[in-house]
Amino acid sequence: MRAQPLTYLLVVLSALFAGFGALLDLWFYAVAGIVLALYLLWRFLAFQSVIASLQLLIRRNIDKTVVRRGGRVNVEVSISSRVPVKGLFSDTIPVGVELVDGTNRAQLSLRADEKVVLRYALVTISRETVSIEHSSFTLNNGLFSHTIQYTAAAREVKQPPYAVSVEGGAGGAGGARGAPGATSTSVQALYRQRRAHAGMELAYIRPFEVGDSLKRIHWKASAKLNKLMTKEFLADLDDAADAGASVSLIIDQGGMMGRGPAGATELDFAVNVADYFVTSAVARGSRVGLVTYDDSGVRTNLAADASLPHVSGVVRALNEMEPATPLRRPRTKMDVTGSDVLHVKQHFAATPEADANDDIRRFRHIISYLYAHSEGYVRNLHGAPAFRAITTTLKRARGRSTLVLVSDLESDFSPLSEGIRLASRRGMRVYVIALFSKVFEESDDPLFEVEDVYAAYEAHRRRVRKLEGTPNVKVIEANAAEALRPSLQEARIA
Amino acid sequence: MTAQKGATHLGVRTILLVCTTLALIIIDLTHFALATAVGAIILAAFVVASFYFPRLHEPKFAIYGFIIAQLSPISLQANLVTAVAYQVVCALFLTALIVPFPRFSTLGTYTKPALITILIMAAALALGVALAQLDGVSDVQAASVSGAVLLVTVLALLRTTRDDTRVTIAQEV
Repeated sequence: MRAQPLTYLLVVLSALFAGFGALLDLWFYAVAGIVLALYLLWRFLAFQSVIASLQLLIRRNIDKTVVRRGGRVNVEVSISSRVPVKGLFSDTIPVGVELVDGTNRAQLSLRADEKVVLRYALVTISRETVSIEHSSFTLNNGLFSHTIQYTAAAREVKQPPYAVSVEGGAGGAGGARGAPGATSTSVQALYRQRRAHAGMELAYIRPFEVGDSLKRIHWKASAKLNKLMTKEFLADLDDAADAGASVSLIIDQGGMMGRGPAGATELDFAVNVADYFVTSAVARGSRVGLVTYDDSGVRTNLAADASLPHVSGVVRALNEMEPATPLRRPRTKMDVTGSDVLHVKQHFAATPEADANDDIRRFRHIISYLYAHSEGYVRNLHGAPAFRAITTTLKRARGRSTLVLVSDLESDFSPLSEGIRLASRRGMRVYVIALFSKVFEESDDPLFEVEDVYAAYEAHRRRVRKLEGTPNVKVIEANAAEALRPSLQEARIA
Repeated sequence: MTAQKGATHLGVRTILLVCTTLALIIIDLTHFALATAVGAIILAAFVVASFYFPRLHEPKFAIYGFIIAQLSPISLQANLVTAVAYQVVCALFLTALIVPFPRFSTLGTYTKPALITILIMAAALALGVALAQLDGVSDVQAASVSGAVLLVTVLALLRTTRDDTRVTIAQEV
């Protein structure tokens, strides 16, 4: 409760009147001082009494919790009070959202048990869950004001927005996973008509290598291809899903991920992989979060949580994901990182001038040039969408958490690898689902050369090896179905 | 709804303002003198002007009306009874100008505060009466001391302002 400036003015007047009365021996001012002080006292105590008797009932209804960028959300707030009261009601609009219709603040004059409804509409600037968690009601009697802050409790869901249910026992629709307690046909049902589990049923086999468990041999494929094939992909996903109490999914939503036949693009595959993790997290009661990024920045940012509305929000976000329009921008290739340059520069600084010759000075000049550019690289690094997606996840990670990154590793690989290194240094287990599907975009190209595919695959393999060299990082190579199609068609599996 | 309630409430305030202004003018004119007449005219002019200039309803301007009433020339000649009557009317005048009068339906909420106020007032007046028994302290000065005690009480309460209340509510989705 705060006093208004007018109140302090009246206090001063009261003091002056009391002083005049005493000095000038005038009843008028002596009584004026007493009456004014009594009046302020009474209004103060009365205002406290009003605040203590106030019981506001606030009910808020939001028609959507997850929307696309630019999507509209309609909010309806109903306020009622058991005693008549007047005041200013205000809903706190979250960051990343703009008010487009109606108002979130209103001067209310409430009668006893009479409801007032406030309606307004918001437009999301960035795509994320929309929740109005804070509101306030300010009372003002002219002399004093008081604000009551209302905060939404942990969600009390009476009717989930989606009919998401988690059922145990049935095998997951994602394939022959067979894990006990695997879920959730209802979660699967929320998916659009992507080509069902594009790649998932095919991409988990690879040639048998010494050391692979015999239990993981895919006997049917082995018979068809006349060589032993191992089921790897889903088993590795099992390991990733079991790794921590919290799984943070990071999905590359860039334009490159839209390659492939409709319904079986790289992004579809990424979504199905994410579905697998969401299903596992739901079965285990783990927290699951989702961050997606494209060439222009972070698109979706959902912190890890295990509650049902949150999971349904994650599923819906995955369901509505589309590849972004590829951006063409100049890229600076830097094979030298900023820290490398700093080490060399420090080494030169420690070298006495007498020991330096022209070659060393020239090399020092080159290193200084690289140092200047590496600072730019570091600045660009922090702004790179992939790096920001990872750091956004790291900021909120707590406890044993796992980072699962699904990407074709083609856009912004350097920032991506720096972010992965950062995550591994922070103690997170990082799983990188590396996609390769170069074959799609060039199959119709008249200049298509098979050698280009091999070259692209070699580049992909180099990136994978670089990531595999990072501690706490495991790379799971997941070839999309189409990449395997020629050989599988030959073997009459596909 | 807010506009309607505002209109109704404004009517009550207007009536209160007119009645208290007339009461002050009458008290001024019962001690008729040129100065008191001028004071009454100035007060009446201010109140009439406030009907035509809505800006005078703002507290920072409306307070001048209260100050004009307090600067009435009868201050120099009013006895205790006149002073009490005048100041009570001034308090109502202040309410009409700046501070809304409590709703009749909520008057019950104001009962306990009123009782506490009366108790504190009684204590302050008792102190004043005790002081008045002393030689060298006039009744007026003793009353001023009572007023100072009340003022200190108000200041002490203002210092213990409560932080904004925080309430956690369940949100239905």
